[in-house]
Parts: sequence; structure tokens; C-alpha cells
Amino acid sequence: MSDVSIQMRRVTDKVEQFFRLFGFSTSTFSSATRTQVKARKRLGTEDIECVIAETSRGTSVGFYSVNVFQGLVYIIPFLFLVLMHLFALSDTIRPFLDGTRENSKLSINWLVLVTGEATLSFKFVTFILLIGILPFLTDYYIQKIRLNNLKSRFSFYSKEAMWETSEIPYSIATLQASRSIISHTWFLTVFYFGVFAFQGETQLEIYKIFQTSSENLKSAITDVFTFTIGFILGLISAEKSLLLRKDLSKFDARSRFSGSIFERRFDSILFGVQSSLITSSLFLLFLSVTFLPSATFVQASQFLLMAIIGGVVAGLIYQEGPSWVYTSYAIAIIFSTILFIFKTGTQSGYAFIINVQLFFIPIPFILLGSRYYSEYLKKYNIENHEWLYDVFPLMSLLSVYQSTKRRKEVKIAYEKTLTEVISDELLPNKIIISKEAFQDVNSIPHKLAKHYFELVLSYTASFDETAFVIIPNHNQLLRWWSDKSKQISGEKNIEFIKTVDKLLWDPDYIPAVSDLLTYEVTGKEMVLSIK
Amino acid sequence: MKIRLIRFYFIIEILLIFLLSINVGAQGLVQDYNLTITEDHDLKVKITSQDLWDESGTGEIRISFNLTRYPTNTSIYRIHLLVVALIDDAATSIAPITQRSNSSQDGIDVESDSILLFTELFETPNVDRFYFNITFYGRAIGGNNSETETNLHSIRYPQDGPIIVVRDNIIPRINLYGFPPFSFFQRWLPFYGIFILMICSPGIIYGVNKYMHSKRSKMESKGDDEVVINE
Repeated sequence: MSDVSIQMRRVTDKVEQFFRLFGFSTSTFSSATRTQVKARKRLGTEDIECVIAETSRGTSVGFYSVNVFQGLVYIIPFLFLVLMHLFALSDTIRPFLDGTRENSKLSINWLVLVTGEATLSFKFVTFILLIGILPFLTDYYIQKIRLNNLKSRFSFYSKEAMWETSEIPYSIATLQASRSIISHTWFLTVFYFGVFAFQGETQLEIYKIFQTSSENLKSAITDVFTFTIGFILGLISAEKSLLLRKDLSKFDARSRFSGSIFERRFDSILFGVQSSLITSSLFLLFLSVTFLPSATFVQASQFLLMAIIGGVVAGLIYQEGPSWVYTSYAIAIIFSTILFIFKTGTQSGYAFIINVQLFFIPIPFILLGSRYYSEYLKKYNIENHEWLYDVFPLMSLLSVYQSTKRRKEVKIAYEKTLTEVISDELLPNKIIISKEAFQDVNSIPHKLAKHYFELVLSYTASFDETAFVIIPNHNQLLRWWSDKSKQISGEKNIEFIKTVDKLLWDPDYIPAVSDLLTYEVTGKEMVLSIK
Repeated sequence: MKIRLIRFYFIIEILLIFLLSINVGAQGLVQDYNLTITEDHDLKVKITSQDLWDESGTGEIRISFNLTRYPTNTSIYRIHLLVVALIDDAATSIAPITQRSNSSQDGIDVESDSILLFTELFETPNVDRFYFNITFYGRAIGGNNSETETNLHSIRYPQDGPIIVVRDNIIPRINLYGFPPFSFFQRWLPFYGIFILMICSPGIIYGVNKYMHSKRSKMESKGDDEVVINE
């Protein structure tokens, strides 16, 4: 640290504080010839990193995207499906997967359980990998657009700026949503068609009890499956895409306040239908190679039709909250059960699948616990809905871990500046940090004190006349104070704000120590009076 | 006004449906039997009944007697006994016998220029097909001999084929055969339980975090001058 010139060190400190005011988390690197500030911020669902390097030759500004390739983790389950079939080609491993190794009653054919009647073919591999890689491609596309927009704002510094910036199309929310929805429905499909994977006498017992054959059972299960799961898929995919669209449009005020109330309602229904159709057609592709290669046209169209209905329902009710969507999830299962009871007279395979279908009713009531998980994530500033309907929310937990790590770094840096700046540059008697002001992070006194503290820090950094620092002026401070306290300030408070303003702006103003003490007392009273 | 009209038509519709639902099976099976009782007297018996009988309903049979050939204008055929029986293909009786007249002195007269009509209402028997066997005994009065003995006449109705009973539809609309066997659930429920656990995991994480946070805040409130700065 001592090798670097004082000028460069001050500049890097200023830049670091500047970034921290805007919510970035920073880290610095200094060497003999250069210093570098890395500022990282979570913008939406991704991280953006800004690197500013100061050398003797000049300054460089760069924007990079971080954590984009973490989306590739979600392709692993799909790869696993393909790998299972590859391993089944060898004769030594196949008995483990087929369930023929142990001739017991409880053997399971894992291949049929997980992928249905899939055979290793070119079609199978391409469909699976395509569906797996789509969400990653959408994230990459969104990140690229955001970075380009950011770079074009700093056109003076970066040579990659563009005259016209592009907007993110909101329809991409559907493909982002499809990842978790397809995994959720894949699980349900496994439970519907699991009968055919259980080796032994189970299937024979079932044919005897219900007086059917395997074809009748399969067609009955397919019928009920397309009816129920079509509706559920449309419902949850539409709900999640609508919520993701809301998250995307948070940064764009134009879309929020355009259109009348009726247009917005109709628009949400149309968007729900569009997203449910896209997700259901993707899932149909998946089904056509795995579980339903012998489905009829009528059954596939029934699936799509129920998805459309589910999309309409979600478009109508998603604004009321998640509890409405989950109750319609449960009602769909009950309704389809009651409907198909009337077909058990003619075809007895329905009686079997109805008894199995009723087990899925607790699922939406367990999903109601996602409300508490979103509260937990809000503490770490993760306010998006990317983790919704994930069977295990892996990436949100990873980002929580990353943010705790970052917070520790920030805390260490804060304490470093406290000890360095306060103990070295300011007299310790001038500033009293009381314990009450810093206890509750989300309280207004804490936020005010933090803001006050940062203003004073920027005052120390702005002793240099040629520096550029953003701080409020006198009128802004007064207006801010009257808004917060909701009262017309007394004379003492106005005097206090005037002196703070002079301290920040007037380099020749050096107040007396006794005046500073009185103003310090009024400032503390003002801070603690807002509770 | 509009609502009254609608209500009016509504009521008319209901009445029509009610009227039409009454069994209009009067297009029945009519068969004539021409019997020669004595040299001078011929009797025509006309029997009508329904074509098809409902399984859980009733049916009506009408028997009419008419003297077609008689010697004088004042001929009478006196029926002393009329028995209606329901029989199956093998001529065994399947329902209790219905008798009309029992005494030998009194009888019911069929006058020369009139028609005598009997009607009986029967419940449908529990068979697929059946016949009626009508037996009657009477005496013809008038003509050469003032009283002539007659024989027992027995008619099987209908002549060509049996009366067919229309069964109700007993195909069950709902038939839940039972519950899947335990060996199915032995393998299915573990997978389902793992799925439920994975879905519960966010709630578990929240609960654990809340518990640890409450523990930590209790410990910290007893602490001394410690500056806690959280972002």
C-alpha cells in the first residue's frame, strides 16, 4: 500500500465510496503501477461487475457479466437422463437399471420409471438437450442486452457503446419460467406412469382387481393425465411467467403505467394463454419421446386445450395472490377425479388412476410455504420469483451464500474505514457512535445515521477541489427533513442543516469547536426523534 | 310482461313433458279369436294389450266378448267363470291366477247385440317373455235349446309369439372396483415422500433460520458495546 502514490490512493478511495453509495459491493487492488476497483451489483437476476482501473496512462472502465454460466447447472438432470440410456447399452450395467438383477417382488425398472418408453435415438437426445439448454440461452440473452444498455450510457469511456439500445422482450419470461415448470410436471408424470415400471406381480394384481388389460389401463391413465396435468401446467406456467414479467418490467416505468385497467386485465389473460401454450408444447415434445409415444391426436389436443384454459384462469386470478392459484391447483385434481368417476362404469382402468390422483392434493398446500421462503430471501435483497416452483431451490440458496460472503467482506471493509478514517483523520471526541442507532438495520434512525455518516465521509474525501462528489444541496436537505419528520422544522434544526450545507460546500468555513458540539447535539436529537 | 310470458311458456312446457311421459303404449297388440261354441252360436273374443311390457311397470289386458252368430235376437251367452293366467313357454303358471266369476248360478251375460268388456291390470312378471292363458266357461241361452252346456274354452294370447319384457338398464354408471394393492404403494410412496420432502425444503430452511436467529438475538441483547453494521 505504501508503494502506491497518495493521489492514486485517494482517487481509488473516492471511486470506491462513490460506488458504494449506489449499492455496489466493492473491492480494491493496488500495486506499484496500477489500482483497480471492482464493483459488483445484483441487477435483477444476474450480477454485473464494473471494473475501473487507474494507471499512469489513464483510466479504463469495463462492464462484465458474472454468474451467467451458472445457469448451465440446470442442464445436468437432462444430461443424466441421456447418460442413463447410454449406460444401459452395456450388458454389465443394464441389470441394475432394468430391475432384472434382483428377482424380488420389489424390483423397479429405473429406465421406464424416469423416461417412460424412451429409446436412445437421435430424436430423443436432441429434444432433451434442447429443452435443457433453452433457459440458459434466455438468461444469457437478457444479460447481454442489459450490459449493452449499460455500456451505452458510459459512451465516453467504453468503445462498445451503441447509439440505439434494445429492450428486453417480455415474452422471454415464458422460457425462463419453463425450466422449473417442466421439472415439476416431470415429477408428476413419473408418479402417474410409475405403474409400468414396477416389476413383479403388481401389474397382474392390478389387472385382476380392476378387470382390465394393459392397453386399457394405459389409455385411461393417458386420458386422465392429459386432462389434469394439462390444466395444472397451463396454470402454473402462466402464473410464473406473469410474475417474471412483472419483475422484468420493474426497471421500465413506461410499461407499468400504460394502458387502462381493462387493457391490462385482458393483456394478462392473453399473455397467460401465450405462455401456457409455449410451455405445454415444449412439454409435449418431451412427452412424445418419453412417456406418450403412442398417444392419439385427440389426447394431445386435449392436453393443449386444458393448458389454454389453465392459462386463462391464471391470467384472471394471479393478481389476487398465490393462494388463489394453489387452490385452483387442488380444485383441478378434485374436479377431474369427480368427472372421471362417471367413466368407470364403461372402462374400469379409470378407477385405478382416480385413487392415485387423489394423493396429489396436498402438494399445493405445501407450496403455500413459499411465502415464508420469499420473506427469507428478501433479507438478502433477492426479490424476484425465479425460484418459484423449483423442486429444490438450489440457485437461490447459492446466491444467499454468495451474498453472506459478500456482506462479510463489506462489513470488514466498513470497520476498516471506521478505524482508519476516524482514528487517523478525525478527533475521536467529535463523533460518537452510539449503540442504539445501529441496532436495527431496517429502521429509519439507522438509515438516517448511515446516510449522515456517509455524507461526512464524502466531505472528508471532497477536500480536493477538483473531485466530483454527489451530495444534496441546502433545499434538498430541507425538503428531505420536512418529509421525514412531517413537521415544519424549528429554528435550531434549520440552523443545523445550514451549517451542514456550509461544511460540505464551503471550503473556507471552519466552525468553532463549541458550535460544532451544539450542532452535534441537535443532529443527534433530530436523528433519534424519528422512530 | 316478458317474464310472465316466459313463465307461461315454461309451465306449458312442463305440462307437455309431464303428459308425454305418461305411458302412451296404447298402440297395443290386438288379436281376434273366433270361436264356435255351439251349432248356432259364434263368439268373437277380442283381446288387446301392450306390445312391450316394462320390467318394473304394469300392463293392462282388455278382453271383449261379442256374439257374432246367434239364432234369435234374444240370445245370451252367460259366462260363469273367467280365468286369466300368466304362463311361460312351458305353460307353467308364473303368477297367481285371476278369477272373475265363481258361482255357477250368477254369471255375466253377453247379450246378442252388445259387447262385454273385461279389463285387468297386471304387474309385469319377473321373466323375459310370457303368454296369457284365458279360460272361460259359460252357457249359451236361446235358440233351439233354451240352455245348452258348453265346454271350457281356453285361449292363448298372443297367438304368434310371446309378450316380451323390456329390462331396465342395469349397467352400472359408477363402479369403483377397489383400491390399488399394497405392493404398488410399497414402491410408490417412498418416491412420493422424497418429492414432498424436497418441496418442503424452503419452509424447513425458513424455520431453521428463524430458530437460529431468535437464539442469536437473545445472545446479542446481553452483549456490550458492539457496533453491528449490517447491509
